[in-house]
Amino acid sequence: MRRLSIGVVLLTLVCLTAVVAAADLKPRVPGPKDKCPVCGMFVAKYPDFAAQIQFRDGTVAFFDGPKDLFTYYHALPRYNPRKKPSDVAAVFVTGYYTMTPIDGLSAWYVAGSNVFGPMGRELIPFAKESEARDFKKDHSGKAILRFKDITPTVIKGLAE
Amino acid sequence: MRDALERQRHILDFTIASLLRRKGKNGSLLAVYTLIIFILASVLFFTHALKREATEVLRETPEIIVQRTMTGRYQPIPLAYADRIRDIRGVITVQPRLWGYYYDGNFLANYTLVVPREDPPEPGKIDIGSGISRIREAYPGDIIGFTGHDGKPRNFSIRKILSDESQLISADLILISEADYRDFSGISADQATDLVLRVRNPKEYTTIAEKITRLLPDSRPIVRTEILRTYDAVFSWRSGLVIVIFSAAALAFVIFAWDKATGLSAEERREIGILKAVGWETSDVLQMKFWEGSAISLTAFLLGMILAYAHVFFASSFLFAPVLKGWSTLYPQFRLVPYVNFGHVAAIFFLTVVPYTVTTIVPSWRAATIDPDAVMR
Amino acid sequence: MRFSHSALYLAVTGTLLAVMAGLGAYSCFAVVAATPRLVRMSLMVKNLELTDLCLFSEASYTRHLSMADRFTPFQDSPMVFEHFPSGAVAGPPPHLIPIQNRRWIQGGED
Repeated sequence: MRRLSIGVVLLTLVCLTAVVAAADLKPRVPGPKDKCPVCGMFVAKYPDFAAQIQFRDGTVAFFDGPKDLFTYYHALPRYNPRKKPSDVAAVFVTGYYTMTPIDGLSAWYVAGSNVFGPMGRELIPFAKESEARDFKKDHSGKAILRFKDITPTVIKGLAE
Repeated sequence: MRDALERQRHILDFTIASLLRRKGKNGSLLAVYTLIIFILASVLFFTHALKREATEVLRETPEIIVQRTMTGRYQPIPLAYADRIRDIRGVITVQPRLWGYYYDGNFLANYTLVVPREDPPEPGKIDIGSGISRIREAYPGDIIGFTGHDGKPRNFSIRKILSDESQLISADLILISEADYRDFSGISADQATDLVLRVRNPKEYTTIAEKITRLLPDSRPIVRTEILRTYDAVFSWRSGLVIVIFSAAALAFVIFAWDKATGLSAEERREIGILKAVGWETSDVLQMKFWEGSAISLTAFLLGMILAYAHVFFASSFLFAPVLKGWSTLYPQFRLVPYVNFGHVAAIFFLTVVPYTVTTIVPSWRAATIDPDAVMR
Repeated sequence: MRFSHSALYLAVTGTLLAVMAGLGAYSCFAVVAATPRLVRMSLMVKNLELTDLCLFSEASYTRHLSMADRFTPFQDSPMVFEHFPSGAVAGPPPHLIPIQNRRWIQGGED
């Protein structure tokens, strides 16, 4: 029993450090040669919508927009077979109003707006819900979504 | 192959000799032709370089400027407007901007007074643009007097002269402290000339501008893209005086080519007749004419281009200066960065050299196919 | 020894071509060399929040072309002789022209 509780404490500690580590991760700047693994475009040329996934082993994948990031995330076995969703340490997307990297896991995304990214229709990310609401109103957005709401169906819906 | 080259060389020899024989006519032809290309190229070089420089320099111009209009004229904007605009989503900061004009009756010049946000001169001091320094012969430490809005004179001592290299943007500027400017111009403390907005995402410019006009109907937002486009349009080759110069030159060229195309002089026809009589073939005559046309047009093209380049980029476009200066007494002295659009160079080449060469060959081809006997008789 | 006419012509043309190529090369070099100056100027534009080039200081709407109010361009369209040379060289800013009338004034993308 005692051993178990120590185990639990240890496990919690490990989890906590992992979470803290994730929170500490800094967004990285895509280099001129970094390509989006989904569409093949050079990411550094399109900073307005740039997004990235950082893995626990320190590797990072850059995307030219949140749409491709989700396509990649939903089909990890296809794009990066050695990684599982649980290997994802941090997700950064570019906040629309601030044009700075924001945490992609807690961001608010507006779908169906009239703002287009380099790959057409996009999910437009915001750090605050109020920003997302204002944007949705101004740019005839259809829905405000969280990270977990964005399913392959949503991404497919964007393409149409 | 060698023979063919040798043959062309002889034909070229003959062509140049024949051109040199009629020095006066061909010389004046070359001169007029060079002049036309010089004017066309100067206009293109100048406008293109100025546009590029404007784009480079004004890259960091404010994202959105909000002005207030009343009775169709600009009015000072109440600072309270800034608070209402600040609430618009996407606006990072709203800052008041203080600036205005001053007419200097002694020197018949207009100055632009600006209150800088960073490193402003302390009260009683001003920084002046090098254009003002030049016409007033004023230097750091000197005292300059201006008449304020209340008719009372005010004296300012010059802190420094703005850099000479930046004349294109700063020749007529006077930088002054906020306290001095408010006292000098009479603008009250709760007002500014206009507001400067910082907006991070260029995609939001139009949305924000629309919101501002809806929120404050008497205001007028001007967006960075509009400012940049202004300079693109002002010196577009299709605008204003540029098109006048352009069409004049183009018309001259058309007349010129028309004259060539409509026929050969009797003397030239006789020359072709004699050449044919001494055994030249039609193709030889045409080759000679090709060399003749290309010798004149290529030389004129190269000369005109080189002269235009030197005129615009080494001689500060001195021929255009009177046009640009108009009747302002304060004009910046600047040397443009030699931005050249190679597309323009190619366009001038294909619009002048090629048609000219063709128009020399075509009528000769008609003459060359006639029986020499008929021509010489 | 006398040069043949063709040699003379080719020499002249070759020299002119070389001069032109030299000017082209000079352009590339000078554009790079001017970068620091342009950066300093754009910094000045940023710090002083300037909006226009100081080309024509004779009237407010030619000094600050992009800030021209909505009424000036209609009175002083290109070819109006009020401020002849500059007023005619500089057209009204495009954001003051209705879209359907823009084409002939605004010019191409060049």
